[in-house]
Amino acid sequence: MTSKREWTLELNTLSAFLDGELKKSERQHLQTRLAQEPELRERLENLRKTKVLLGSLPHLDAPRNFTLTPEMVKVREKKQPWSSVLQLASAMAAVFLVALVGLELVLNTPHAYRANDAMPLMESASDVEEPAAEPLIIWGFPDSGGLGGAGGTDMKSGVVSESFSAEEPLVGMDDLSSDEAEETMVEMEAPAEGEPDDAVAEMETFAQEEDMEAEQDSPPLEADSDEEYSQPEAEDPEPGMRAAPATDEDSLILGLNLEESGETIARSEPGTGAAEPVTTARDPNPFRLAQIILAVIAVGGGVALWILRKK
Amino acid sequence: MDENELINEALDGDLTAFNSLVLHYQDLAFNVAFRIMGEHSAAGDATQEAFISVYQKLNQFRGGSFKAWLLRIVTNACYDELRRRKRQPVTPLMPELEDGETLEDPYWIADDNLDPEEQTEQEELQEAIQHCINELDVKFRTVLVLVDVEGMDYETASEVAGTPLGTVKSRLARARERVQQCLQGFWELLPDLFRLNDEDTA
Repeated sequence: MTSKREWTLELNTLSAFLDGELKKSERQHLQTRLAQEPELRERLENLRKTKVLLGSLPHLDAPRNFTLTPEMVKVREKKQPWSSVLQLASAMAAVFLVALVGLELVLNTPHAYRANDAMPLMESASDVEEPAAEPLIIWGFPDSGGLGGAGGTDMKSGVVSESFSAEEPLVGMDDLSSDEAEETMVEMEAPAEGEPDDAVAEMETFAQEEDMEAEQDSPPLEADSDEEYSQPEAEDPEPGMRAAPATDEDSLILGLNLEESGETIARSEPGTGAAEPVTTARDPNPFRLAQIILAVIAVGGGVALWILRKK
Repeated sequence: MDENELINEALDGDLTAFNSLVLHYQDLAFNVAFRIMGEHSAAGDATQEAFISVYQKLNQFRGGSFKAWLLRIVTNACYDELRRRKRQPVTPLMPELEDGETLEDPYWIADDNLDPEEQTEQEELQEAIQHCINELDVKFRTVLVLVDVEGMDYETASEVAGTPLGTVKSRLARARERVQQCLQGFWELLPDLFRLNDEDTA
């Protein structure tokens, strides 16, 4: 009884023997076995018959000529550039996408976020010198006298830094000793004297923003008007420091016309003392836009190639 | 003209020279394609695709047997065509008779020397053999067609199929055995001389 493996090996040997593909020693060994084993001879004979039957199949003439025409070659050549362009575009988009994601990761450190956030503020602050017809925004909290008079109503800005968020712990004057409070207010002296440019300069660094946060809870600077956003009840530690006068219009918050602004501003509830978060529309991240475009090109190119090849 | 000269001229963009090669090899290419695919229209498509590929890849031919290189492209075109048809099955168009019926295979009526009965028997036997070839896995089928139908040696078959010599040897042996078993289902069609012994196929 031969095993399946032996049976297969024997089959391979018989098949190769039929085709004259056995080595001399293998052939001699098989011939000896064939002389002694009638079953093996019969197996070989059946394989031979099968081979002959297969070889008896007619040789067909080609049903037509398969010669090529210039058009056939041109059609194929025309298809190539599309495929190449798609391949190249898809690959390049993928490479740029990866590079852009990497770049964004490098740039988007917390410090970089701060810098990015401060940028629009600085840009808008540079316009301060020229009084514009449209009132622009510098946001402060109603209870705390709106930026403590640092920008006053002359400040023009449509952007409010996130550092004014009520969720961030504010360093208020309540938490400071009177000396510390005075020290803080001294720092704010220059803008309080009515120099808007100084106030702009003050906002150029994050540290200065922190100072402004402190200022919000500090005893408010006295405003010249009686508007609802004039300084509340806290005493003015520096009588000489006064916020620039607010506008007379009720719809303005320290010069901001709510209707004209495209931003959403949440007012603090008067008397709560807690600053409400301010929501402003932010510029779309240019990185994100570029990434989306590149991803669409990479994926779209790949899919288009796949479809073309399937066709 | 010498084959190498034709190849060189075709490489220079001479389509006429290339078409001379096509005319020389088209019967062989079509036969291989037909035996692998088992269907005329599919074989025709694969053969045409193969010659277009050969023209475009001619600069990749590194010498040696042009016939083996060409047939390798033909077999690859067959694999592609089989895959494509597997995804999108097609119904072959057969010429219709006057009464609206179709001929199963118009090629089998080419031989006018046989009487109708003999012709029918021969057609049926050839169909049976082709049926058994088609039952094989395509890799086994290719080796069987190259060696037993086209009469190539193992080395050329290995080159065309792109497989080692030992693989060709074992695939061929197993393919023959399976065809042999398959043909037992068509016992009545086989000539007496070719009827196999029962005990061997058990």
